[in-house]
Amino acid sequence: MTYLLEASQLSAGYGRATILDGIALALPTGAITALLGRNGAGKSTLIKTLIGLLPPRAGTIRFAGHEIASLPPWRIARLGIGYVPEERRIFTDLTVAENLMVGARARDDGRPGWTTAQIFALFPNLAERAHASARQISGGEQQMLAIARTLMGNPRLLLLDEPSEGLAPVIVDEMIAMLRRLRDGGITMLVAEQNLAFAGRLADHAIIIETGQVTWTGTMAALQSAPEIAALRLGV
Amino acid sequence: MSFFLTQTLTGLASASSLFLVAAGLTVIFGVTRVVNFAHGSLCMLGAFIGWSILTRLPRDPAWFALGVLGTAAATALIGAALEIGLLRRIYRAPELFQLLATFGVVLVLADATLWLWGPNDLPLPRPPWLRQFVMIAGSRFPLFDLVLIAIGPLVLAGLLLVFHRTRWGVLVRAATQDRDMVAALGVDQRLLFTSVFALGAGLAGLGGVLALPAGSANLQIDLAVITEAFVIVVVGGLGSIGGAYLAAVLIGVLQAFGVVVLPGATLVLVFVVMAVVLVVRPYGLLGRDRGESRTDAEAVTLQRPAGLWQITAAGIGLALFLAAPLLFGPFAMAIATEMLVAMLFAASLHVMMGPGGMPSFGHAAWFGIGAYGAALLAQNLATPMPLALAGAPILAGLAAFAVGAFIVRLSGVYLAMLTLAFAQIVWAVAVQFVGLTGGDNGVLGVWPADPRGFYYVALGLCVGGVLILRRVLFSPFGFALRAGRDAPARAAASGIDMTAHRLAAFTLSGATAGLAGAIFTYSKGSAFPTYISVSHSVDALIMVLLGGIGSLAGPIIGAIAYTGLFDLLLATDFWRARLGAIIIALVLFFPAGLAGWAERRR
Ligand SMILES: Nc1ncnc2c1ncn2[C@@H]1O[C@H](COP(=O)(O)OP(=O)(O)OP(=O)(O)O)[C@@H](O)[C@H]1O
Ligand SMILES: [Mg+2]
Repeated sequence: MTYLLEASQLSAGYGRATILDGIALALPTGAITALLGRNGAGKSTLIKTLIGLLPPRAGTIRFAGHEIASLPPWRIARLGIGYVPEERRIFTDLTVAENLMVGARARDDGRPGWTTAQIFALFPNLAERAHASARQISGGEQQMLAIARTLMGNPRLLLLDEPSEGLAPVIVDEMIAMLRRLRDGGITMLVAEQNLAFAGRLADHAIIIETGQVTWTGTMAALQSAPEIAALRLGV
Repeated sequence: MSFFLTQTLTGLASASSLFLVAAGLTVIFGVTRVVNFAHGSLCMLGAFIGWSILTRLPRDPAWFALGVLGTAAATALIGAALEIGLLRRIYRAPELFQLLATFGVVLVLADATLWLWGPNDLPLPRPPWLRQFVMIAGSRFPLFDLVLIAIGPLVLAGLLLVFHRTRWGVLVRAATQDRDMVAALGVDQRLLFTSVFALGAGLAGLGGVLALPAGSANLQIDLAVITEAFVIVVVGGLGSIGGAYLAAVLIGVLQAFGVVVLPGATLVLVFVVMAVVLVVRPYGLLGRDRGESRTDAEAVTLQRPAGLWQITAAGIGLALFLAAPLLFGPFAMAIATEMLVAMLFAASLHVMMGPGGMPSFGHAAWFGIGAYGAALLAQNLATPMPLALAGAPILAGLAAFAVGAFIVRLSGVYLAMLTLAFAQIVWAVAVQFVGLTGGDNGVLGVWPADPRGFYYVALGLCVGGVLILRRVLFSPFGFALRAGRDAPARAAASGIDMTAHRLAAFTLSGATAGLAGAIFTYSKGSAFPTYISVSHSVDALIMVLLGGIGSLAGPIIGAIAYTGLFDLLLATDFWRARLGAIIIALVLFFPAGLAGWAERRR
């Protein structure tokens, strides 16, 4: 198995608090990995550290042959990592189409990347609301917009922080189908989740973090066939 | 009718140049979150550079337009250099430090301009086309004013077009809302910030050069313009260009009528309007609450009781102050009094800004009310000194209570702007109400009967005042105040009435500053409007930040260091530039202040 991203001895935190304390993880290329952990375990912190919004205090992160641990977010993003934050962070002062424009970036290798038309084909709801203010679209549409905006930068790795949070079940189904299609198109993903059922339907691999460290890794199938692990480590 | 029309047109014409400067300031703030004090200086540079360019060009409209554009481009380049050289390094610093750094730039640019262009006002020779009039409703109206009236909306439309129709503009708007997210999407912020700063600086320069035909290039532009631009930006709503235009029109027209209707009170009028708008709409006409982009919490360490070394240092310091008149004579006594007053003044600001969490750009207001209060009590009512010294802090405290009741609910930049506004009102009263205050001549002849005796009174009051503030900060009141600053929600949940606590701190701080002002008046024998000027407010800020905002020791060390430094520098050429360079260096190298630095070294 090849790994698109590998981190080791990764530590990060806020102020005096250390949240990640020597994390090691590897994301298999072309697969969806679920990042599991209890409330406050540090899932969001890990994702922010990977995209560079929170500079790590120690450790290395190798992504596609580059050391990215000390790079600013925009450089990391340009190397091909897309970030979809937990709070979505849509630009509500902009229209839907303008939000896509912020994320748009040509591929470095000169091959054709995502066009707005393709994105709108993938997210028909957004096409209808293209010129509406992003403040006025529904929560589900905002989540789709957050993903679509990131896709416009042609990432090879997508970091999704609790994408299913607060969405209606039908929308969640749509999202799972859409994310699996993106994976089949070659995009690797790390998806932070609290919802084990959702993770089970989506992911190929799983990582569990507790008290600042990775305490379990394996395939999603292995996790599902051993319910005692989830009970012990995730409290479900 | 024709009076009404011409005054409105005059107001619209001045609104245009106000808008240009304010638009630049608001765009820069929106994206970088830096309140750029040096924006007025960029406008001033625009005037001087414009003068140098335009006086060398043929005097016809086409060349004039070209010269104006060239000036805007030149100031844009200067702005870009400023951003790359300084601001880029301090985006993550607390807001007040950024402000301080840009004030350092104000000082450096003021002296640079003085050095390059000399001290005289430089009016632009006006060729015939600039002196033409048109007849409107039966009265003569300057043609160039009509041009100006058109330029405001044109620039507004151009900016809106750029911000809505280009990718760069969309990025700027996105970054105004959430710059970290923009970076996480792969946008190189450095380019964006530099270009935004250049645009803002270019607009400031444009405003400066376009105001040339009606005025002159002079060294007062920087602070005059920055105050007005602050007002407009805040009234319009931080970050809103449309709001800036509305506010500029409001203020411009108001001034045009004010000059005729209430000639003595235009300044007061402007700031009253600002205060009213902010009380009714706390985020300005078109602004909205963007939340605090970051907090100053990191710079604020916990208040700790004095350790042994601090008590020893304070003891030695006190002994020196006690012995000063005996050992070093009257000159040392004067400097020592200045230091003591500065110490009390800075300590009072610390109460508001540190534990109270309420930044103030206008702390000199309370100082000035105390100073004038004591002087007028002594002069007009023949009040004996002890009573005048007691009355001054009461007056300042009452004023602070009345103002605070309206504004302590606001936070951050808005609170700071409103304190600035109030200080400007007090300043305007001191300057414009000549009958009472003597205007620029001040109130003179308020001397104590026995200078040496007074020195010890001042020493006692200043040291006593600081000790009382200390006592208050370590009382349950002080702890509740800090709890409210650090975790407002939690403090409210545990039943602390934060507004009442903040108001009490605001009042206490104002009263103490008033006492400092009264002592200062007696030590100088006079009260002047300069006591209330923006730069005196900034002096207090510098002292607090220089020493470090984390503890009460900070402002004390800061006050003594700053007063000493100031007196040393005043004796040199280009002292402003030196002071500015020192401020900038301090912000870059000692972001926690001198006391914080000493703390960390131990
Ligand atoms: N900006 C911050 N400043 C200080 N502490 C923070 C900050 N953000 C998160 N924390 C703390 O870091 C810890 C980990 O938070 P994080 O958001 O990474 O957890 P999470 O696993 O994503 O939780 P959730 O499932 O609730 O999203 C928590 O204890 C949280 O309180
Ligand atoms: Mg989270």
